Amino acid sequence: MHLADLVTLAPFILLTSGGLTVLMLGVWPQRVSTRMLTAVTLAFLLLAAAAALFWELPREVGSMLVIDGISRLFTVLCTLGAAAIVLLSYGYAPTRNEARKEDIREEYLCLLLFATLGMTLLVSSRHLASAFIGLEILAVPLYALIAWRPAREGAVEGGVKYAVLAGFAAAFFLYGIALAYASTGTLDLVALGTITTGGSLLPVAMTLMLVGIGFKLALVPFHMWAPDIYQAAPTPVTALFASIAKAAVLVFLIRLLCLQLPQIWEALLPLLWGLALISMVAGNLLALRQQNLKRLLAYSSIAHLGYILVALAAGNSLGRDAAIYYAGAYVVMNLGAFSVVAALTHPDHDRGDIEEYRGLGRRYPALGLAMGVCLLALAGLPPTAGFMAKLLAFGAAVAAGNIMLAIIAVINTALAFFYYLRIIMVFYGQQETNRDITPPSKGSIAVAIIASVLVIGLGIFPQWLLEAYYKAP
Amino acid sequence: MYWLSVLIFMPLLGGLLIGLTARGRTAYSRWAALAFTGAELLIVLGLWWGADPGANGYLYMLRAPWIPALGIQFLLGMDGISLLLALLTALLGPVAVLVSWNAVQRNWPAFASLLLATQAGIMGVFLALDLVLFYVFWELMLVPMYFLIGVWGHQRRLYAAYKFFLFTVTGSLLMLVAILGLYFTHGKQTGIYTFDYFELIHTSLPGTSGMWLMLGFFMAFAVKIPLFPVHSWLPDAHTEAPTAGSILLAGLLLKTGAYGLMRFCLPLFPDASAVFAPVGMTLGVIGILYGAMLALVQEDMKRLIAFSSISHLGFVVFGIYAWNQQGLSGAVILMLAHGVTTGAMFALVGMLEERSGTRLMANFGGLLSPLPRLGALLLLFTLSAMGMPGLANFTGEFLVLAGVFQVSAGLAVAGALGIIAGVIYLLWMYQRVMLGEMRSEQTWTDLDRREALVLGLLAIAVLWLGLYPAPFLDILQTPLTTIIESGVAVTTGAADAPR
Repeated sequence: MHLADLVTLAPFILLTSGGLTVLMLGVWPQRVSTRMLTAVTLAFLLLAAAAALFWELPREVGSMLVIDGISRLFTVLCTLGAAAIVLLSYGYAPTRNEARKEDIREEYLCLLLFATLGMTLLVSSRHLASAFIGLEILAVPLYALIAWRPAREGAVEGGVKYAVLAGFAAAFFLYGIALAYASTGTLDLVALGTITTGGSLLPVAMTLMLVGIGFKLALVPFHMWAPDIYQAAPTPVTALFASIAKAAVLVFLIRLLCLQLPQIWEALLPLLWGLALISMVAGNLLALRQQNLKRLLAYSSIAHLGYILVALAAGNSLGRDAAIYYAGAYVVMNLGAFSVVAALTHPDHDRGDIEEYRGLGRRYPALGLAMGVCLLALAGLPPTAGFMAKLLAFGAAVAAGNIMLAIIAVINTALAFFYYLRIIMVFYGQQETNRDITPPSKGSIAVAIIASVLVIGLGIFPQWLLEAYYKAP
Repeated sequence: MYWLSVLIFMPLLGGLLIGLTARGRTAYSRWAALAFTGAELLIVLGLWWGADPGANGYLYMLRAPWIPALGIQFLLGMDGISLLLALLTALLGPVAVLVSWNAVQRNWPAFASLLLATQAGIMGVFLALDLVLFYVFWELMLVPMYFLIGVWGHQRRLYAAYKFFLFTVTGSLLMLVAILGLYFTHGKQTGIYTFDYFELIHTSLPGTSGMWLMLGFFMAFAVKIPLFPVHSWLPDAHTEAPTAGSILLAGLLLKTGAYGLMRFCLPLFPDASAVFAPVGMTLGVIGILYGAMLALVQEDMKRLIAFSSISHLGFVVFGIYAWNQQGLSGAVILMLAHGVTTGAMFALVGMLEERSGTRLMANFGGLLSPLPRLGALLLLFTLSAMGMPGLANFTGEFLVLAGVFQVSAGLAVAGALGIIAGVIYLLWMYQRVMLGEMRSEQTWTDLDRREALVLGLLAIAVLWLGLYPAPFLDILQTPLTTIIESGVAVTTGAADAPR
């Protein structure tokens, strides 16, 4: 360990010490205001993002972490995303009520910082052990965050459900790691990539790891938890789940698959095809008639991961670029959509049914416009980032000759337009609901606007994202 | 020529400006929308005036890098075909604003911005020569149109809007796959990965790949035109849309499909299109007869005009796949004529509906005496729509039939039957609405100045196209020759079209 490594590790150290600091402030003799705690959390997150921006590329820390363009891009994205989620949580009406002593406090913010630490570890890991550590540091705070304000209906149930399923996923993943070690004698991703004579155990190991990751990403058929958890969790936590947490796991999946282990790629390909296919089709079909907005977005994100797998199944460098761009775009689009959902809550609980949003787009033009932009981006309409992501993903599939997969993907895209447009139509519908309006907080409006501007900006200038890791020296 | 990008971005920014600054002021948004569409028309007229054909038939070009890493450019070009269609787009802009003046009752600012955004998208489709850019505009025009139908439409507006959107988006996504396929085929052959139309036009497509790619494009265009099996969105969308929406749909959106066939399907895939031409012509003739038959039994005036559009667009496809000078120029002229005539017909139905609250022909009758001016103009446009010599559609239909006759006399006869059916349903419509006994007690007011201005503009265009189409035909000469040469090279067995 050199001093230079310490500089490289600065974002991780900042996040850890941030979590501890917030916890300390919480037990300070004088009561520290929520505003103060939030500001401290934000400061640590922004500092971590800034520290990541000044990384010298490429670097390795031990054999565990690799600092390259991808990890820089996604570390910045995850920390900034977490900052956005802190803002959303601060303005989130159901937890804003200080009188009920249910305010977001040091525990919540500390858990959020540790979850972010898990993500940053995950996106930078080049060793299966560090990836596992990252996954667990990410998962454990999430159990608690889902069950935030346990008195809520379904809160504990959701937390326990996620804990059990994530436990299963971790077990699969760990077993996969064990088998990989047994067959090759190494857990280093780079070393794994050079193995040429893996036995029959390696495909099994990869499949098990894929199952573990599939659980985390809610790919069909491991998706059962997603709609329930999306609905049960407070919306800012759902936003965390749906955007940066998934993207972090996704980045690790991209690293894993882009090893292109020659002898097992052939065996893996049908699996990827299958996962991509049923995730797209099932996600979209289940979303079609869904009435609850958060559940609908859960199904839609299942479908999106299907599209990303279409890109990854291409197995070429374009596929990797497409998947990375898609992951970035996915974070921004979902963050935007969920920030609108978080802004428009009832005073004590989330809105459930889509109908409860009727006419709100007219009443709050900025939020309505942001929702429109983000949903159209999710649907894949030009000139948004969602379109560029799909163009790259389908392009990768066509370039690899997977024409059938590309055609199925576009038919799914067409299908998905139906439910995204339905939401927008309701947002701008007549006869608005007047029940229980709490004025949306400035923080969530700001997040929604920034996200929608980014969605359009990244769509018109995709090179911002592509070059962010391409041109890494 | 940066004026081309002005044509696209001025309505877009204008729409944004109105949306952000109007704050519910109806009069302001009306006049601002009229000003923007009017300025658009003046710019296109100016471009027409200053047109100076280059060597390859392109009057204006604009090329700027956009996403160089992927070979995507901001490439706009205007040749004779684009110019005439841009002219039509710009003409129908103020018409759409003026007919909505009183007809649209709520939320004018939003309506105006969506109208302008649609116009910008359509303009982009007619000008874009980079395939990704083309696709961007192709999808971009759908969304505002969807909202125009879904928010300001009639009773079954949501159903119609969804149907319209899902049909067209499915078609265009298949085109996206075909675009990507073409891109990679070209890239693998030459090592240059680009979406540039002028590069891709020389791609050689071995085996059946050309046919599949062509079908991908064809699907998108066939849905838009719409051709026979995929037409079912059109009657609903046209009927449920507000008057301005119907005018833009029938006048412009349908033309984008036919334009796509001419601009992309034929020159990019000459071999496949040559094989496909008989099928295309057959689909065209089915459209002509099927649309005419269904128009015969309609009770709703808007629905009748919608089916007549299917019939007329069948003629356009007919002419395009005849693939000779007469057929193609007839097709373009007929597109213009149909845009103007049908736009006027929809405007007239909208005016009748504003006055009486109904579109059913059974509720009208004997309106010629209370509404002499409206009746006379309806007669003019009805005669034009059924192909009366001296009026716009005749020129187009005549040229198309002349072109098709050289290829297949039988099909030409079948197409001509469609004209006869057209005479029947159009005259019958006129008779039921304007002649006979009055069936309603209400008091009628004839055209006011605004309405007379709209219809007068369109009437001038109809007469001009019918009586003196030479300036339009002249400007089409070079670009159409280029398209024909790509086909001739195939039929004569030459390895590559002359560049």
